Amino acid sequence: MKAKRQKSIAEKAAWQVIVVLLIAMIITYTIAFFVVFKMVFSVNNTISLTALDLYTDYLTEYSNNNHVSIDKNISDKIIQYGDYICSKYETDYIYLYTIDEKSSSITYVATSVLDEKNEENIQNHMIDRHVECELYPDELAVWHGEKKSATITVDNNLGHEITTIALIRDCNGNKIMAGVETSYDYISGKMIKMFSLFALPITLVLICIGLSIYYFMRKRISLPAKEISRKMQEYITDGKQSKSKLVGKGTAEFSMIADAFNSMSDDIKNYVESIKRLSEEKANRNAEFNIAAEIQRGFLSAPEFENEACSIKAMMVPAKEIGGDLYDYIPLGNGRYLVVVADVSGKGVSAALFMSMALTLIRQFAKMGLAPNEIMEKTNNALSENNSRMLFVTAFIGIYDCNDNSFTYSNAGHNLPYKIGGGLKALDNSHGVLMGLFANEAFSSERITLNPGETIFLYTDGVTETLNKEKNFWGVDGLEEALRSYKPSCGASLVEYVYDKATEFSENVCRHDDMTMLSLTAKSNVDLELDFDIHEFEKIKSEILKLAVPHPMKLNLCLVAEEIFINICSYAFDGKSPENEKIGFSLAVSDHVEIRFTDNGQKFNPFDKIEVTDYCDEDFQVGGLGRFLSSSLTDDRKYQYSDGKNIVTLFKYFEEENI
Amino acid sequence: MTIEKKETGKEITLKLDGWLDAISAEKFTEVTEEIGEASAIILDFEKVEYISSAGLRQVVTCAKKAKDMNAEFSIIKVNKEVMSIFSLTGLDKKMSICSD
Repeated sequence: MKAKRQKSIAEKAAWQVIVVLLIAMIITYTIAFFVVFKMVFSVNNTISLTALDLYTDYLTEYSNNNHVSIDKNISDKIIQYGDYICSKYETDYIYLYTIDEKSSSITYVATSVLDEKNEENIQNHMIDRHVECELYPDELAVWHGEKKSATITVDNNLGHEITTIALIRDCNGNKIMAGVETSYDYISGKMIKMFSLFALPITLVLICIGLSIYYFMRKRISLPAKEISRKMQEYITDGKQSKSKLVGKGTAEFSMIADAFNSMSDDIKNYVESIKRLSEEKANRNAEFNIAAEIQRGFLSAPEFENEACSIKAMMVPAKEIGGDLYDYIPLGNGRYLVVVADVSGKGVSAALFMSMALTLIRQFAKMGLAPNEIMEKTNNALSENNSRMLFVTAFIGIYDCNDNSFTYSNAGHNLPYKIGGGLKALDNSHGVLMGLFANEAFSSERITLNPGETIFLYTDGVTETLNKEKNFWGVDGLEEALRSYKPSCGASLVEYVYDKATEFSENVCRHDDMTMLSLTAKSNVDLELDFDIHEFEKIKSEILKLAVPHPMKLNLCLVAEEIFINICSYAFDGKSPENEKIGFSLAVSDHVEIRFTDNGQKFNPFDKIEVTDYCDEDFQVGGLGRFLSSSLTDDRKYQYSDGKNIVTLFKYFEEENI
Repeated sequence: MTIEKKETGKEITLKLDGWLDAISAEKFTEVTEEIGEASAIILDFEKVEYISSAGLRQVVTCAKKAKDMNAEFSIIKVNKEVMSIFSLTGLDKKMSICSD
């Protein structure tokens, strides 16, 4: 929507000046008009009153001679005097007369006129002319002496006239009226004359003043202001600086505005350039950071590792692009696996570089077949040698040996890892000093048993220092609660589960530290080939009893395995025992226990059509009881028939009561 | 599995020791079959820590035999693990089973 066009400041000012001056002029003229009228009245009045004395003599003479035969000399003298007054005061007509109320008539005694033209008009009004006419009330009032003088308007052969009359008396009581007439035409003529002499030039002067103000304002204010706004508009719409500088025409203020605008525009140009440069630099730096972060992530091993001996899952969530956390695992050969989690002090590039160095050293010494504490000692010495910035690293190194189910570890000032299985236990022995600051430090190591199914959980303080909106730490308690509540059956791995719980706690509050976790679960796997003989169950039983799991769980596993095994023996070949056929049995322990039977017998799904309740009627008839038990005492079951083989798999998870 | 048979008058107590699985169930069957006449058959499960469906089936057979000869039948001193199997199958509601 386009804004309504507004008047320029020059137009406005000129118009305002003109309007004000016009109003002033009108007021002045009105006042002048009334002054002229008043002037005429007062002149008339003065004449009529001052004439009294003069005419008194004449009146006596006139009365004595009974209104007739006046001395021509006196009469002429009077008339001459009247003429003199007329010309002096520009009065049309001065006359003396008497009034006869009875006949409603007046008799002119003497008249004087202004000029020749009037003289012709009033020649009939000469001395002793008797005229019948209407008498004005004011005229009579003056005649009777009730008023000193009066001004009345009359129309006669001279036109529209203003007449001022006064009564003249002599000592003898004789009286005569004196009248002075001035015509309206004279007044208007005088007014026009005055207007032409003064008003017109004044009006012209006013118009000139208005125009000059308009021109001045336009040149000095409007145009410079327009020029500035045009330049600014250009700057805004084109988004670029005009090549020519803005010149401050007009007044000093506009010069100041122009200077300010020019310097502002220069400043903006400089700022824009410097911002561009900065963002380019930042983009470059970010790109370099990202490359560095990518290289750093490349140092780390894949987040998942699994073989028949163990299962390793790791997760690193960096707070910035580059962090000082690291995790690693190395299969050392001969069933030995090294796991490490470390946290370098500080963040950013320095931390990342230090972390890379620490990682390289640890890997180097680990591959030499050293024990965890020896790796710590050598790494510590190497890091302490050239560490001018006094960076340090906390670390936990552990080696799992699946041959004897042992886990040997050494801790350099790092958060205590947990062993999960048979309860939750913090690995609080062998807590040494952090690495990188003190050379020749001795580290101890500790050895524990890690049975198949048991897990070691390593983490950095970013996990426990997860903050929520109330600025509370998740803490060791939060972590332990999460570790205790974890069930492998939930589908997520332990590290994923802990991460989810921490994220749930943080309510998406921005992470301020790296978060690194690693879990190692010891596994075992036994495969047996069994004959179709129920006595072969002893072998199954002995393998299950060897497991490092809680005793009630072993009993349940035996029961489940027995039911399925007896079932296969009884039905796979209709109760016969084929000599060349074998039953495959496999027992695998990781974070859960998996039992698998394979046979070549007739197709049979043991989990089909199991009635869940009432296996025992009044006559104690039981059927399908074994299948019911094996189904009830496992967490999950699978039946598969492929390549002419029945494959039955049973899953049992370590639940809290089993730990 | 070993089974110790104790007769007090017409009351027969069978003291079982070991796992009552498919293999040992056969022996248990033999012992139960030997029982000629009794007014009460008591199974002492104090030393039984394991019972499978084969074992359960023999317990049921024994209970049936007791019922046929109008003898009282009860299982005593059942431990926690075995009791949970009895509960799971609903047998604890069909016969007298107690943990002491």
